[in-house]
Amino acid sequence: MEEQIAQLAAQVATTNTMFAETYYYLTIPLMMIIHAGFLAYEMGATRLKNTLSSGIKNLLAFSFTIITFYFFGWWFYWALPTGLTGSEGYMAISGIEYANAIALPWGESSQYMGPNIADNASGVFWGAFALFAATTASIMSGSLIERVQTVGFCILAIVLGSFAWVVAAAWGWHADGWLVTQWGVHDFGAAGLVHAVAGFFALGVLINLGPRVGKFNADGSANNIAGHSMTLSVIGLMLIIVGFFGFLMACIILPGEAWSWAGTGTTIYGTRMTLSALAFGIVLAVSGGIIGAWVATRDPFWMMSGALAGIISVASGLDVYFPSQIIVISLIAGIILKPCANILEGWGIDDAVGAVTVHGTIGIFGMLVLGVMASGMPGLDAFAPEGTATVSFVGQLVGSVVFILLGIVPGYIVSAILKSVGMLRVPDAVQERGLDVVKVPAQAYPEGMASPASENN
Amino acid sequence: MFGFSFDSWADVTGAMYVGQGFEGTWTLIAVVFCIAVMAKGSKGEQEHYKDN
Repeated sequence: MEEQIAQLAAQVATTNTMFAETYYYLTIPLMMIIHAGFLAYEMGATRLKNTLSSGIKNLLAFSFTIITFYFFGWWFYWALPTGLTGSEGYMAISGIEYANAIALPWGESSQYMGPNIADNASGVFWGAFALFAATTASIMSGSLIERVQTVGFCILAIVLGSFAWVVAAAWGWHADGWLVTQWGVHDFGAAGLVHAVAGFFALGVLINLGPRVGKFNADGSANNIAGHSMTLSVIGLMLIIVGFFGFLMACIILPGEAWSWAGTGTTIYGTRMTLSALAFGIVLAVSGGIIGAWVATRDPFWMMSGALAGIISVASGLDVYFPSQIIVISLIAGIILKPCANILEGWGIDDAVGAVTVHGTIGIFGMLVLGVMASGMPGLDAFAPEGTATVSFVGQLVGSVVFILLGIVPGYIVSAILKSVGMLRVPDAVQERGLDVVKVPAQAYPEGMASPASENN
Repeated sequence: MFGFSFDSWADVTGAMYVGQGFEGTWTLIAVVFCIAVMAKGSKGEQEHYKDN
């Protein structure tokens, strides 16, 4: 009898392990859909003459970020939660020593960075995080279209995807993160540590990159440079939304996993979490964002950007919001989106697809709204060290400032260096001629395309 | 650098890839390859701009 119970227990454990492995594995292809979306969205938002070079940029940002995240990004996540000293935190799953033991593709830790019959977890967690990294890098991409050099852009993507956001995640998305333990920062769906970091990184780059040729007139007024396919862009944005179901699904910790806090699904902050909660939240946030942007713009591009803004605006608290609150917050995000983008344009910043606003401004908006809505909520669960901070507006504000700096400072510095060595901006003459004809040995479309202008501007 | 460390799959209890013990060497080769292709790509890109 005892032997049968032991066999049954072993079978249950194996099934649970395989279920968790399958769960996280499936988040990876779902997040790949985000990149299919970015590809379509940015190519559509590009003029015909630059379509393929925009696509190439996206493909390379993904590839270089994934590879460098393997080389060193994963290590930063585990090494730096307690700060730049790399000391071990209370949960004993952080610090340089710990990172050296599990996250380097050489030495003893190699066993966790490759096929291992006894390790069903490392690869799928690494894969999910690598896709988070690639997503963060791709967020910046759309802002820079039609005038950023390919290799210079790849270097920026590596710095953002395999370093800047990783530091933000270590500090604010890890149970030993100092922003979590000392300030009670709560950012379940990464509104701040992914979206705001990426948005403000893009802003730092845009300051050095400058606008596309023809974007601004001599008097400072801006011209609308329409992409060649609104259809492609809108479908691309919808694909990004689809992929975000995988992104947010990967933010849940299954019971029995190394980080799980209880016998239920949780988050890294110890809040209880279910896929049902996500189902309520995501679709309502998408709907609220679309409607809000429709009221403000009547423009399908901004309506789908509003869908994204809807999700981002509630992402920090998707684990704790009531659905009706989500409707209100996401509606507001959709309404304020375009006016915020107009303010940025008024400052002479050519954010080609509004990524700084959608991800940066709305990301910070989402962080701060949670600070108001959830003030006083426990920061971490029972395993947390004594004195761990609760969620507060001040904590969310501190987290927001840190995330803004983690984005804009490296974005500005690295792009300034690239500019000084001539690797940032495509020469104006090439921009006018078109990037595809200059450097891509292929054609986006075999025949020319033309579309009548709208009479309803 | 090459080959499998075990004579039988029944002996495998942990890591199961070829080239065990040389992971650092392979990683170094991969890093060098990546830097080289990026340098080559950058050079090609600059030449395209120079002609215009």
